[in-house]
Amino acid sequence: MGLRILRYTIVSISLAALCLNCLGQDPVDPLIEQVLESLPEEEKEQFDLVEFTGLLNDYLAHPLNLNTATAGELGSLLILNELQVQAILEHRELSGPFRNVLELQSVDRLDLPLVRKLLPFVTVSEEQKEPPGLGGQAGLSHEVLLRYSGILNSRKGYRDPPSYAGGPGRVLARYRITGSDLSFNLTLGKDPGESFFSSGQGFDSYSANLFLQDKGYLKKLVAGDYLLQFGQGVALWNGYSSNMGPAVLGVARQEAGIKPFRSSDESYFFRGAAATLEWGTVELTPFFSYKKLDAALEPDGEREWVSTIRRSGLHRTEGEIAGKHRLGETVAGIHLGVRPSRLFTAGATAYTTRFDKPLKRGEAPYQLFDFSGDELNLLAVNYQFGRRNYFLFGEVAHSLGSGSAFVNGILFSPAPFVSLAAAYRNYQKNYHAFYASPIGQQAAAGNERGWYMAADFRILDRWGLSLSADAFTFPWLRYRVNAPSNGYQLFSQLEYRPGKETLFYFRYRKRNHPAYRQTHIRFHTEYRLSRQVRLKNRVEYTSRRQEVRNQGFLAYQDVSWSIPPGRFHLDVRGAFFNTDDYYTRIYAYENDVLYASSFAFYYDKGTKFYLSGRWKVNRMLDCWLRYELLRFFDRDTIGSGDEEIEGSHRSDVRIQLRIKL
Amino acid sequence: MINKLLTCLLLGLCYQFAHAQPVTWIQGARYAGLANASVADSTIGNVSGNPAGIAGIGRPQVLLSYESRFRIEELSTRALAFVFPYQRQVFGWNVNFYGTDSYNEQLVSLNYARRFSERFSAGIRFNYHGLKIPEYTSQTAWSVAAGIQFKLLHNLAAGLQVSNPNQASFDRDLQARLPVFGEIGLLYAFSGKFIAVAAVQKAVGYRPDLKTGLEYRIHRLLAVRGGISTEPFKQYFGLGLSYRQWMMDMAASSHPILGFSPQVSLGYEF
Repeated sequence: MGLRILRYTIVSISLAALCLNCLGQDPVDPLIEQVLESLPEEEKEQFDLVEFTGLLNDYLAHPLNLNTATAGELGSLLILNELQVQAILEHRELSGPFRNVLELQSVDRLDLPLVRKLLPFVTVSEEQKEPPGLGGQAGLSHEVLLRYSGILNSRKGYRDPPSYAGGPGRVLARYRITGSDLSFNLTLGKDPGESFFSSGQGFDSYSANLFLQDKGYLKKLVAGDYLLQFGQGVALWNGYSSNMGPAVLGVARQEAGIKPFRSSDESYFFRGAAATLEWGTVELTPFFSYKKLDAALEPDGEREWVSTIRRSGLHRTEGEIAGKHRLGETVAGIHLGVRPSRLFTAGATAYTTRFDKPLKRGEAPYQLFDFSGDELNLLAVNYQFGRRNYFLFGEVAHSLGSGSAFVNGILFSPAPFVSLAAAYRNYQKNYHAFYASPIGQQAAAGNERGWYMAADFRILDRWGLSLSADAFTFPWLRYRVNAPSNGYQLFSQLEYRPGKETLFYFRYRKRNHPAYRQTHIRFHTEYRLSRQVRLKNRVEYTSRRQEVRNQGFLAYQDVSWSIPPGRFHLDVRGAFFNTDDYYTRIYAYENDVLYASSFAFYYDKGTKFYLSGRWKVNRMLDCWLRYELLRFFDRDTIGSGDEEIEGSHRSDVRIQLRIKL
Repeated sequence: MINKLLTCLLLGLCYQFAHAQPVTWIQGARYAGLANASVADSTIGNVSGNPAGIAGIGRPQVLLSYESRFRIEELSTRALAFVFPYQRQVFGWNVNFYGTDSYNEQLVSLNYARRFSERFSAGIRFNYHGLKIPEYTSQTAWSVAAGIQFKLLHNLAAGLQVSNPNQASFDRDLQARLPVFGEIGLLYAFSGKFIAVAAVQKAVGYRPDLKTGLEYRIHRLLAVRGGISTEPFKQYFGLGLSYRQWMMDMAASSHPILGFSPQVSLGYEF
């Protein structure tokens, strides 16, 4: 075991030596970072940025054509809110096709900083999207990505006798073929602790899909693993979803329909086939999926029933391996969409989820309205209607045999550069939908009611003020909350952009939850020091009152160094944090190898240092290296149980190679 | 006996949740839709708000309002206000009744405001408060309120108000305090149709309350309003209809636990 770690370490260090000059990142990565920073941080469990950063990187490589982009494609960037998307489409209709991307400045409701954010992802051209060909047949491009991540310290679960079946590294291998109207994706993964080839099984998780589009009536076709997003997410939506975050007008969603699945998450996707057929203004999407989920089962006489569905995808210990793929799930349904005009869209979704073993709800009072059984049928209707300066949206869904849920809202712009949003949601306590993800305070849809209001002001191309307030109620009991409860959340952010690459913002957030009250205050600055160096600073404070009052503090300094023209890039961070407990942890965006950037949380007392670099070796090969050192004060061990590490510091390393043909 | 019980309960309720606004008088349904952040604005509703806020009124007006607090009839307020401009001065008179036979509060006030220049106005108000609980007590008290308003830019105004700085109250053994507070706020007009108001009110014994509201005039005849206040957290909505000299406004505020308080006003300009 130790030898294996040593071998991995030696390999990594030699690669590190090789890539020590590893500095390289597209100058546009800071822009992706800015978009990501506008996403809500304290995420629902299965949050995976991969899908979203993958999308943004794709648009960087193949920018969206402003003259042919649909509302869905423009909205998927998450840079524009619905009113702004409508403004672009209206400009196109009234003034004709765009001649130049800079024409965006003359579109209503797009101020200069926003246009700058958008520019790298859009283009203007008369022709169809070009395939990226550097070679390869018929304009197809191939990409192979290999990634290894490991913690250099030894953890308890790996020492003799090991409770984990495999080694501590995390491996990801991905192969992608992309053409102008097709793509193929294969992802193989292994989590730390899972066995790898030694037991003859190879990788722990496999995912593949073939995706075709724009073939006459067949607008999209996917075979393999995919995601679906319809309406406002009340009935069916997996993958990333915008919620009530810093982008305060993001409550109005733009559905994407079928999306090929590309991340390494192991349970929130569909496996089977789906297609979107289009005739004029009508669109039909039938879909089917069958996959095996991990579950803990309990025997009950002759049958077995499900006590928990595990969605972490970890198969390291005996118990986890025993529960692997024990539950079969079938999902099938259809979505119908009509678009009588650019302004009005409506749709209906119907689908069923069936398990081969029944789920049984728990016996505690808070579980009284939970789902039980082996079949769930859902019906939903959604609409959106947009005109010059307002946008109405909504969806109503019903889980047959139990409850209903709906959300309705409006985005409205009463004056130039002022946008307002209001949305009312009501998800009944007995509404069930496993694959829904509508706006709300909770991860799941159900047992929540709330009024959301927001305002966004953009002044003089430099100042921005975003405000939002959400008042929510949970009509039934929840885990450890013994009565119906309510609370509210306030958010405000003031930003100042005096120059193209200079940003200051101040953010204040307050959450008054039934069980606790919490406030966050953040001050953040970014600026370019020279052609090669950019700096970022942040200071954040949080205070939480639950029975006692606890506080948290984080300060970090980032330095980014690029050697133009984009061959080497290095991001360095030094952070100091001091939080009283896990609940006062603070989240922050961290730079990482391509596709792996994430929001990490900082808790307890200590410092963190990381170096993340990229070297663009040549047109075909890129290599990334990341090293992170986390040091705690006043501690002898880090983590607990099988994840426990002796000592007060932890080192993480990550290496990634990408070959493009 | 039951009446006494009911009274004590109501009084208890009022005290307990009086970290709502510490006042039982109302400013009209237009301001009720704007979270009562009226300190920088100048319309008739300010006869119970910022005394300087009526200085900008050009013609005599009358306003009749009714609020049903938490939709409980015993907690409702009825108000009548009248303003009368004369040269550079404006006189205002208003009366508020709150409660029912077993418990009621009355407020009668006389307001005097004056426009000193294009940009600056000031006002003062004398209030007569009455509190009556039959077979128990009947009390009166006097208080005063003062305020100023100034125009910073052509579309930005600010206002400041103090109410009851002398801390007048009813008899000590009654434990019924008249609110003492100060308020400061702004009004910004984005265009002729859209305005935003914000104010911070600090009452003695309560945490500072931040109130904001937005009003959009969709049409010559119709305006919509919305607002939020933070202590406690409440949301406000309102609608205003205006036709020639008539104005009708409807609004409701939503308290997270206690529910809706609708308010309606009818005004006429002579």
